[in-house]
Amino acid sequence: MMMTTSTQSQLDAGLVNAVMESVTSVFNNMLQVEPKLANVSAAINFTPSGDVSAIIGIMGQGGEGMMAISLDRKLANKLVARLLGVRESMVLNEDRNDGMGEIANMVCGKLKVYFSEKAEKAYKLSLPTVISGAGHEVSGLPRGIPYILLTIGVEEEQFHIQLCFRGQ
Amino acid sequence: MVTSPLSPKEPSPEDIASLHLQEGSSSGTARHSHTGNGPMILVVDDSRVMRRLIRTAVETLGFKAIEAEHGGQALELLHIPTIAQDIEAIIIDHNMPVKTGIETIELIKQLPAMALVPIMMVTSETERDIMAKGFALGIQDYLLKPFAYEELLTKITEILTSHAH
Repeated sequence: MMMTTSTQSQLDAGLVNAVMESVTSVFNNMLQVEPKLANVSAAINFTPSGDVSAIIGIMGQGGEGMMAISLDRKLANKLVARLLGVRESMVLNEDRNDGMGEIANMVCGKLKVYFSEKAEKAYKLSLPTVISGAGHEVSGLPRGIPYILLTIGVEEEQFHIQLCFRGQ
Repeated sequence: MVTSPLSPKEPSPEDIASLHLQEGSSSGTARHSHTGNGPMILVVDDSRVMRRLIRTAVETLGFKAIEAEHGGQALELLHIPTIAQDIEAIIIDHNMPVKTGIETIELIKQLPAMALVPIMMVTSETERDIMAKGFALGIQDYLLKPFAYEELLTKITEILTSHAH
């Protein structure tokens, strides 16, 4: 999937395409849904949206950064139910948080390859952290560096991926 | 194609018959004769949803699954003789707290009862050195996340079949 928004010239198109390839691979294979890139924009700081944020750090010799998937609880339940092959009503709170962490881990796993190949340096991922609750806040994340914000549609709903990376 | 993890392409009757026949193989008989547990597959993953997904696949193939949340817990289970003797295969993640998959496999392979038990890594790690370390330690196969559910079924079938031969 190619990046086609008006922000293309301002953002790293290669990175956006890598994110979408990664999301598409995970969602197609493990959730059996087709994600669609709806919008790309830039931000200065991480801003959680929705009820659930799954966050993973990327670190290595070439720099460090983070990726977060933020979405509403209803969509998170739907995605985790798809992952498990069960009805949404069977998804417990701990399933939802764990499942979103696993989805973020898989998306970031493929992104790590992108960073490694681009910089020819090895990167590692942190274990995923999932924070939930309406109006939740996340502290301790990089501030004052550009974030890429992707809005991605899945069926009739949307979620966000926010990504930042600071090279050394 | 849209498929549900709980309505996967079923393994053929021959596949399942082949796997169940393996329970009576020479090594299998020796390791199953002391308990009523029957053949089990040890699933080691810090993610409860991944353990649940893999358990579903294992049970679809007619086996029982026993779960560990991390390598330390897996090693505790494998030190219990009545459990260790029924383990037919181990499916293990790499990126876990306490001990990584590779660190755990290294310790598992030091257990005499586990020397011939096939191990498959299921991980999103794609670095070649991780896989190379795994194969150097004697893993049978690996499965990279994300995977299709049918691929998981096929891989489990393959490691059990190769073990029987």
